[in-house]
Amino acid sequence: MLKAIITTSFASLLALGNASLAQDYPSRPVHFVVGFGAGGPDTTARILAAQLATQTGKRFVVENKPGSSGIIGAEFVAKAAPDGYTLLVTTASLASLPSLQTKLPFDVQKSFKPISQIVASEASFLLVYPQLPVKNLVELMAYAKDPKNRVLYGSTGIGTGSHLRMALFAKANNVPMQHVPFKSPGEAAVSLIGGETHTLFMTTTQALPLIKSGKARAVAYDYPTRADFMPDILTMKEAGSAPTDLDSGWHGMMGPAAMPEPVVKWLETEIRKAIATPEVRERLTNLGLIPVGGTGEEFGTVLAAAVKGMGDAARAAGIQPR
Amino acid sequence: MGVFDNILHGFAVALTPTNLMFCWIGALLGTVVGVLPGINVLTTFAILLPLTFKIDPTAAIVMLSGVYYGAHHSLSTTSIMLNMPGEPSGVVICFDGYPMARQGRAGAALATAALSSFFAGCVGIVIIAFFAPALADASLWFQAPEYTAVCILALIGASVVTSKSKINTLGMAVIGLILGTVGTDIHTGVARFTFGTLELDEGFDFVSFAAGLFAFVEIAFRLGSYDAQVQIKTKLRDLIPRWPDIKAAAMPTVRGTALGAALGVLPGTGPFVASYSAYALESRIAKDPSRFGKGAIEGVAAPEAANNASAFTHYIPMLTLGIPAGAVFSMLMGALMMHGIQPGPEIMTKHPDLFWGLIASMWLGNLMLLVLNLPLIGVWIKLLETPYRFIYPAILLLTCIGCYAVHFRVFDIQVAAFVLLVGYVLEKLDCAPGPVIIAMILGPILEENMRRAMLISGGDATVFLRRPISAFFLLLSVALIVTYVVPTFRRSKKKPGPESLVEAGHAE
Repeated sequence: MLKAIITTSFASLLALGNASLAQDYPSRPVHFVVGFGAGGPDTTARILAAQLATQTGKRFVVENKPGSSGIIGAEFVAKAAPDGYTLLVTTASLASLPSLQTKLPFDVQKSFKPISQIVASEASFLLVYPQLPVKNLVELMAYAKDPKNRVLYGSTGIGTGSHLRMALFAKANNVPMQHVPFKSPGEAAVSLIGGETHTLFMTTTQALPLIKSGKARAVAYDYPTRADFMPDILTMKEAGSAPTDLDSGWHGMMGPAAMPEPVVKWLETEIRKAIATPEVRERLTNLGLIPVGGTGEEFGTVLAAAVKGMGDAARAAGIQPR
Repeated sequence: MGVFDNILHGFAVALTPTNLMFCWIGALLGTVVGVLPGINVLTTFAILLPLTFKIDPTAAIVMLSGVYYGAHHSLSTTSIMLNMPGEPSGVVICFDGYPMARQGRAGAALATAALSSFFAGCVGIVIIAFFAPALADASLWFQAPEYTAVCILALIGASVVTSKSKINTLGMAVIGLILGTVGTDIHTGVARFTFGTLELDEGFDFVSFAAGLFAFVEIAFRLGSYDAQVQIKTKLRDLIPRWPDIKAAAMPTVRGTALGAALGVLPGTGPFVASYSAYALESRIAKDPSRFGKGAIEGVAAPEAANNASAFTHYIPMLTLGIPAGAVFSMLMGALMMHGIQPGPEIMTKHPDLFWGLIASMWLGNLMLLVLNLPLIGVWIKLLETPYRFIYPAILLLTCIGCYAVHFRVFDIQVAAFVLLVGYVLEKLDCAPGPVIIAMILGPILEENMRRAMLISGGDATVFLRRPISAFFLLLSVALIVTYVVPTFRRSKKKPGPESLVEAGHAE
């Protein structure tokens, strides 16, 4: 009983402290936790941190807590003090975790407060090995459906965007294909251009050098409209298949669920300002990312949609959560 | 414009004061990264990234590249001085580099490492400048069956790294293979032998495992013997390699460079396979293989050359195809892309300043590393002469910080402590730790590629024999097994006893 009283009074003291702290937030360095090593969301976090520091004069530190597909970093933030000094910069892969893992140490939607979607995902090209006797998407599907042929598709790992996208495509069009997972986009790409695997969904920036040099043939662009830098490549719909509509590449910021509203608002505004600067926009666009900088509410909607979409995709891919 | 004009132009770019300065900063940081355990190239890249926003893209890639090859260059230092490999390819340097240091020849070992790195680096750079596109195409012949066959050959070669009996070596390698299976299986996504902990999801971390098995076991052993009191005396003339040393190291350096450069083009292997293969090759062809593991200078020169040559030829997939050979190159590509430069086949024609400037800066950086590392040898030697009771707590502390710094978690220090206990028992039982860690690194590559090859072939195991390159490596593996087994039989008839078993494998 006594323990309970002490705990509650301590907790309420902390809450009071939080409320007063929110006025002069941030009074000490803000930590952006990234559940991965260098590259990807880490780069986004560092671009953002550098701009926020310039624009507000405060300190923003990027901290890597890699491991277990980002679970370790996300868990750290979910259980951190909700004072706005420990925040998570994550990728859309977080939304796939509930359909891959049964025992997550947090709830993707309930343990976090969405703050802002930093960038949206770039679209993917559907690539084929140039010596495969198919010129377009319809021919690819016909080729794969022919029992004489065995079509292999590469991916950057189980449950990653490139895997789920192809699984959705294969299921929607009833195309039998064999999945061959790799550990990195580089290995999957080498396997495709060497003809070891036959087809691969690859994000725009990674696919462009391969398409331009003729090492891979693009049969479709997985987006509602054609890419203005490659107007000859048909969209999935034009080429004869439904688009996968998988939103698997955004980066966003969230904090512990109980964060005070003024802190969330402060971050939301500053992030929007940071992402609107031409330098940041240019850097992100060059990396193939689409700058967003929306509100926490908007990000919450994107997150909920991603959890559902990735769940459907994981089931289409036949992944059993463990 | 011919290649030579391009190279001259590259030097004009690289020799501008800004680029020269960033090259120097990169090489210096790389040296620090290579020496300190736990701080790796990727972490350093991430920290330097915001700085690259502000500078010219050529300067940015010159600096980041400097960190990368600088770290490779100085990687051998801790292996030689402390028996502590900071990266997988450093393991091989421990085998002979550390015994050399214990014999008071640390200076010779460090200088040999620096010189063979320099030589291999220069050759690697020439290969990038002249043969990159052709090599990139050739690397596509290597697919899952070929990687499998190379790993099998390498694993069978693991017996050369120890003078212990065959059964002992085999047992240690099996333990390593088992430990290598810990972590998430990439083909099914199933977590294996993690006992429900998230920490083991990606397997054992190399730094903490190697720290426990090599550096910590060494400390425990030295403290447990009178040896701890004995100071290593290094004579001044031992600071530099003597003429016989240079002669002995010359050909191994050339062979190591060739092997490393070839293996470095393949994006699926990494520097460990290169340096380890070079070591195995040297000890197979040596006149007196029993010297290996006891301070043979070839055992430092060859793997060090292979490691550095492969570090440079690793650039080829990125520069010619726009495909990164590993996470370090993804980051390098990202740094360029942020400036609006797309690495790939067009980089040579669209951004000749950057491409040839980078090539020239690599050569300058290599020279800087040599100039930087040779005088440092004197400093390292002084460190060795300090009484051991003062050094070992410092090594312990630094290594623990290193283990922690990889993932910022205490778990990895606990792993190192546990591995120390196991490693100590193994050492007492006269079991060599080398094959354990070699099998632990090679095992996952072997498994991944073998299963991938079977998946692609639809379960047809003859794929390994139908493809000429993989068949060749498998044949070589069989030949290697025959050379082990046959002399054992012959000798055990003539002169039975444990001696013959130990020596048999090395007699050819």
